[in-house]
Amino acid sequence: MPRQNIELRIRRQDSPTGPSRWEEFVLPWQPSMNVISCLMEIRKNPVTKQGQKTTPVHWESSCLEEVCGACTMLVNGKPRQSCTALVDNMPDGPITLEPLTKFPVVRDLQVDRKPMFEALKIVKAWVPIDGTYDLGPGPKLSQSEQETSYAFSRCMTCGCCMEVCPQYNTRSDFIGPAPLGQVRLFNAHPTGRMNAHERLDAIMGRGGIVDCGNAQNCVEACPKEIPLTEALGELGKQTTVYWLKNLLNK
Amino acid sequence: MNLTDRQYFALKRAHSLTGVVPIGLFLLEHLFTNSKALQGEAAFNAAAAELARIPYVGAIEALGIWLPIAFHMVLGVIIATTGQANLGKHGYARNWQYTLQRVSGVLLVFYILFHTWMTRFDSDYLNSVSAYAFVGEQISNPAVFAFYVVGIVSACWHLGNGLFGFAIHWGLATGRQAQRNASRFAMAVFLVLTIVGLNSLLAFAGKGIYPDWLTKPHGAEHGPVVYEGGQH
Repeated sequence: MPRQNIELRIRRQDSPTGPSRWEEFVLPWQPSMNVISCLMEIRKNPVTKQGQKTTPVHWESSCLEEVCGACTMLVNGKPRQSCTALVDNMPDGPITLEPLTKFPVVRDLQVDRKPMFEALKIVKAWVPIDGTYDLGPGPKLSQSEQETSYAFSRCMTCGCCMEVCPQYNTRSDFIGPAPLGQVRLFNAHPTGRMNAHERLDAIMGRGGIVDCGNAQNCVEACPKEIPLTEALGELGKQTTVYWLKNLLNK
Repeated sequence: MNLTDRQYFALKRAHSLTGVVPIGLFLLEHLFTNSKALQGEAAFNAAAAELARIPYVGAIEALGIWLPIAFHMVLGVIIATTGQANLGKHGYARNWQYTLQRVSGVLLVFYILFHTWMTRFDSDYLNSVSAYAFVGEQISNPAVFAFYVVGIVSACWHLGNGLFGFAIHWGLATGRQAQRNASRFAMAVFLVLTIVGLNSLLAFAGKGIYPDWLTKPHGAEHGPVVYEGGQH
């Protein structure tokens, strides 16, 4: 039987450096609600469960179909996209919403995922094709290579894997699983492969592949079921071979 | 410390490698020699004396055991401080194993310091007539016995589970099934070594489990070789 009311406990924070506080809200149940439609209901009439007037809860969202990653937050303590967090699929009792803890909070439930995007720049997660003449079509990929690469291409830099990674924190330089998955993707690309050594160079220092602790939480948390731990193993192999080649050939 | 990227990489890989060779190999040898205690006081003392007669023993001990362990310890503690355990929030099996790897490592720092002092440098030990009797006397104290149990289980866990990390770090196990197999192998190593280790500990208390069917060579008429007066 669907619930009559939806109770929300939300961790609020007015500014990036300000203190955080909990606020509770109650709203009437409607069919097919997700966390975002709950937040939109609160925005219409921002009054807490205790009847106190408050500011509308701030959050970030865009695609509403779990492909952009913008609305990622902790729903009942687990990192996930709030757009696909359907109220009817959640256990009874209040629903807890918190911002991700591994990224700086902008306001309320919105965080700045910039560290991940910066890491993508560090590892050169792209295929350089700019030039002065037409390079023509690239080589073809086999069906099985396409399938493996497709899995990694689904990454939306949502940050779930970073949130659960015990090695990704303020005490460590580790760049986290998501950017490493992209190194795996672009090093497998027939054109991207030409710059594979540049990406390997980028992940063979402080904060790179050797800072992974093999807790393998990343693969459990990834909403896109990206085989991140396979990428980490594969990059372990690529860096080993590259390192030994350099040691022996230089 | 200012390290270049490549030096940092090499140090981390050296940490992974030293855990297996030579430290892992040394643990196997150590448990093998300890198991001699199952054959009695004379057998163990003879084995210990034989080890002391290995050519270049001083160099092997310093460069093959102490130096790698000291390196693995120092870097290991530094690595442990860069982690942020989150078992409470994300209690996946692998996360437990990740956390236990660090906990066992830190326990081992204390255990190895204690164990090395007591059975390598302590003057009472060096002057004792029988190493077997000395250890037996030590573990008659329940607290010391318990610490030995913790130390043995931690060491076996750290090596067993460490092999899983080794397989991934070096890229030996990349696919999902390969990693699953590596994990099973690692847990099997942990279990077997723990049983062997704890049984040898019990042997020093005269309570080791040593049935004929397990220990007689297959098809042989005789039982374990009886050592005679193996002091030196």
